[in-house]
Amino acid sequence: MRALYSAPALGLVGAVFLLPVGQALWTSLHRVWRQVPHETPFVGLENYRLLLASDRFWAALGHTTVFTAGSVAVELVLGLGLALLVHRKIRGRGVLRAAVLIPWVLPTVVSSLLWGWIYHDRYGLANHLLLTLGVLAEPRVWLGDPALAMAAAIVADVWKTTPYVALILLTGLQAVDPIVYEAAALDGAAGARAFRHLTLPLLLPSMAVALMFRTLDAFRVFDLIYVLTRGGPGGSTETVSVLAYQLLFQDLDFGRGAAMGILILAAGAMIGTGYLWALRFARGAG
Amino acid sequence: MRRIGCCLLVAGLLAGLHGWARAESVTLAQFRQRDQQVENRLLKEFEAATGIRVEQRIMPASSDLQHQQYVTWLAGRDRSVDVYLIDLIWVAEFASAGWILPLDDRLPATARGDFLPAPLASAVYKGKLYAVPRFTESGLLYYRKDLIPTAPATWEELRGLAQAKRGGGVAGYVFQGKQYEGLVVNFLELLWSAGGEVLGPDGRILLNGPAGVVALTYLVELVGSGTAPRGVITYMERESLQEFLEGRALFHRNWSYAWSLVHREGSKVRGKVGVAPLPSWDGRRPGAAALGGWHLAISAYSERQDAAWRLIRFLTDARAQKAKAIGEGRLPTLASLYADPAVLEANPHFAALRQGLAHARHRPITPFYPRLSAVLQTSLSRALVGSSSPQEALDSAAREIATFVPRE
Repeated sequence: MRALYSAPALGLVGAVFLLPVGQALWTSLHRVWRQVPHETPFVGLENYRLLLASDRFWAALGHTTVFTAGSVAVELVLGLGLALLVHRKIRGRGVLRAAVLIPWVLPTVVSSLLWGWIYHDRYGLANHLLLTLGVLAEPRVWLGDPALAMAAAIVADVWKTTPYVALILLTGLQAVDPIVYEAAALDGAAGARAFRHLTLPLLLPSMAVALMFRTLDAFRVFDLIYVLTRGGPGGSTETVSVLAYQLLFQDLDFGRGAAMGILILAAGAMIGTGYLWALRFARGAG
Repeated sequence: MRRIGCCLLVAGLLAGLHGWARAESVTLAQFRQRDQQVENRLLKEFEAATGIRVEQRIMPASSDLQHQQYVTWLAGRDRSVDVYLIDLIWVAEFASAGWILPLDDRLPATARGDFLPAPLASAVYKGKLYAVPRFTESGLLYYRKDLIPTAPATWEELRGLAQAKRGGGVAGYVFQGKQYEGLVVNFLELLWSAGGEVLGPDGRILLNGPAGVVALTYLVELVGSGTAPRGVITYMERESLQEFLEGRALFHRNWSYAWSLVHREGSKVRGKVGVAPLPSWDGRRPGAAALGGWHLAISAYSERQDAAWRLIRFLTDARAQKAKAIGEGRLPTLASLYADPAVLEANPHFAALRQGLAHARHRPITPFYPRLSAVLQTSLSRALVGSSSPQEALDSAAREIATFVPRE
């Protein structure tokens, strides 16, 4: 009887998750080139082998890792600062809290186009500011240099998603009973000590949630990169999702594209499980 | 009992209505036209003349996004779109996938006489016609005739002039260098003019031969020496044209449509611009320009193929093309319109552009072109930013292309 209650949920998961994944898995074991629709032989793990043997796959994984680690780390630090700022009882807090969210509310495609213009070598704000401040001696072509392009993409992502991290951390901060701080103050712990021994440990669960969501999101980054650089210059910002898109919609290599999708899914599952495991471990230790 | 009868009657009526509505309408997927009013007027005329309603599906402006949307629909056997406006580089791919219908019975070879040969040839795959050219484009050289008296005859001459006369905030040569289809087009034009090819007639890959290497080296050196501003590595058509319109470049490669933008009121370079065919490599062989343009094709999953064909015929006949040429400055695909006084009065430059079209070449016709281009985009971009030498870049592209382009 109990099993019956979970049937609708299971059915839903089956329909919207297991079925498509199953089909992708099936496709990934065949050579499906849409240009030759009548030949779709079973090739076993060939699509996976080709991917894992190609430099392009590993380069994309490397770019994705750099992007994920870079953006998530900076977002966590800035997001924490921002959360602490808007948590305080200051004048205009309501307005500030709303204003902080604006970048996050913008559709990614819009903010990416915006950043595309900011990075423009002639008319861009980035060059204008840095030249005026004397940081740069001559304008840079931010998206035309493999080393700079990835950094530029990370900065754009940080601008957009720091508010999201701040929001999650803010809810964490607000869940802490002020009495805890009063008690700590009575015991002589205030300021930096209270932050180190109270705020941080109490925020740990929120941080883990923020980190997990952001890592999974950043790992699958697509629209930002696609609008800014299309994976260029010279493939230097091609991430795993951009590669999957390329295989599917440009190359029409559905088999390899499906294999790529499965690999991304597996990586995402690993990241998610890793975080959950770390969180449980941290809780158990605490 | 009566109630059931009533229900059946209503259901029957609805089904009939549904069938009637479907039979009498046809859906056209295309990007927003330059002047949508001109287009809407045309479609109204078609509806009035035939009684067939036309539903438009407006596509995103980016050609890649259109490709993605079309692929999603066609791979899913979508029956709701009957006519697709497609980039000519997709014809072979869509035809080979069985997504668009051959049109030889509907437009026999004898009825194709007035179509310009190059656009028409780009609609043919394996001897069969799969689409009808709606409008066309070709690559051209725009130059500042107030600063450069005559257009350079060779690419070497262009480089010399650009190098010598640039300065004071005016760059030498601005082209499209971002990692996308436009970069491939710019490279192919150089490759062809240097006598090279991407694929031989037997499917052999010739891309990384001597002509390919000199062509790519030329582009790399333009950027490396500052003759082309480094920013071109991030420019698509729009950004590069913007530089030229702002008066910040002596030479500029773009499609024929840029002509009307150069001469638009408010343009800073209005009256100061000359247009010429793309230069020759050695001064003996003529230069080569890439052919662009958009064709109309019938979806293989359309249930209203006859209505779809009538729409295509209407939109590609002389009357409709004339309206587009006069109203939107679109280059027609029919030879006779280049001698039409009304068309020439609205577009005096068409006579000159026709010359460019005569030498325009289509990009390799293979079902794998978009895939081949994607490989080239990355490799060419890698050479432009200096991550690999021209020879290495082309060798690795050739190796990759060999894994999917079939040898005959």
